[in-house]
Amino acid sequence: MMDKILLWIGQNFTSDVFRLSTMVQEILWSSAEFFLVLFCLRIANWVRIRRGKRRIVVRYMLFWCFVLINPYLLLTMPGATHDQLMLGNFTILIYTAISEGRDGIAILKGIVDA
Amino acid sequence: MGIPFDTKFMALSWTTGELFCLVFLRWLLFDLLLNKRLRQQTAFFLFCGTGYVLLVCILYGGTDIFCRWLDIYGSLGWFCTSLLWKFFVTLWVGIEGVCVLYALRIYHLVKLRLIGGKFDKNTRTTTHYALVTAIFLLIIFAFYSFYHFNAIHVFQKYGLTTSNLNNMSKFYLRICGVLFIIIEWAIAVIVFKSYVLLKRTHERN
Repeated sequence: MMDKILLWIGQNFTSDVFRLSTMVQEILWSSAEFFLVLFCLRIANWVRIRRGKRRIVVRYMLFWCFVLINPYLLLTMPGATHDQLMLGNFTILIYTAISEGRDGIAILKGIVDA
Repeated sequence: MGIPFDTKFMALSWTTGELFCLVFLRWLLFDLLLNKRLRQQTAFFLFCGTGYVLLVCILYGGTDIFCRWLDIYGSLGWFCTSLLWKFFVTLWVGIEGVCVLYALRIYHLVKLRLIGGKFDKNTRTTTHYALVTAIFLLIIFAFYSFYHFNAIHVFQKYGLTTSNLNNMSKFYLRICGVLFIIIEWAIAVIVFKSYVLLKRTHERN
């Protein structure tokens, strides 16, 4: 059974099929990543409001820029990996973790210990 | 033959990043939320540390040994390099999957606290989590070995071309890709649910 499956894969999963499936995968993966970053930013915003700080503006603007240019990158960079496409979002996530992480953890601990 | 320097660097930096996320989530869950002391997690840190050092050794010092050891099929040297790369991809799926388990537990703890449910800090022990992690990683790597062992077996048995073997190898990457998407969406949904939970609580207060 396993032999037959692998034999079929070996003969039919060609480079063209791989390239096409990579594009579909990147679309699904990127959309999950955008969804994740968007709600991480919202949580960070919530944390900032609780701490009496100003709302996040620049990171949201950057985020929406990345959302808009992502389809263009997907179409014009067929060989690009997911990491290359999502570098901007990773940067936003790391910056958010550094800048709001400490306050977020303190609030979390406050909730659990209350 | 051998993995290019930038690929090695990427493999290692990605593994470092993912391990960092795992250690952070574990620290958040056990040390901060469940008040279990860090020294109770010595075995976990020892396991991660040893594993990491071994990976660095294989990647920078032992790639050729690894490839020579597996290079028993004549012209299939490239496949050994490919196997090593797939090993790292499998490792990332494993670490991210474990991260989802921890994130889910943290979400449930916070939710339980916010809705006023019974909060028992001893419901899950570190041993329990270590066991789940070990079983999950075991399944993932058993599949990795099973798939590639069978791929080579089929390649030899039916006299396929290297192109056919390459197709099978690429298909494995696609399987991992699907798992990555599932994991990424799972984390995204947990973050979304956490946001909704926090917002509702904030509005209520």
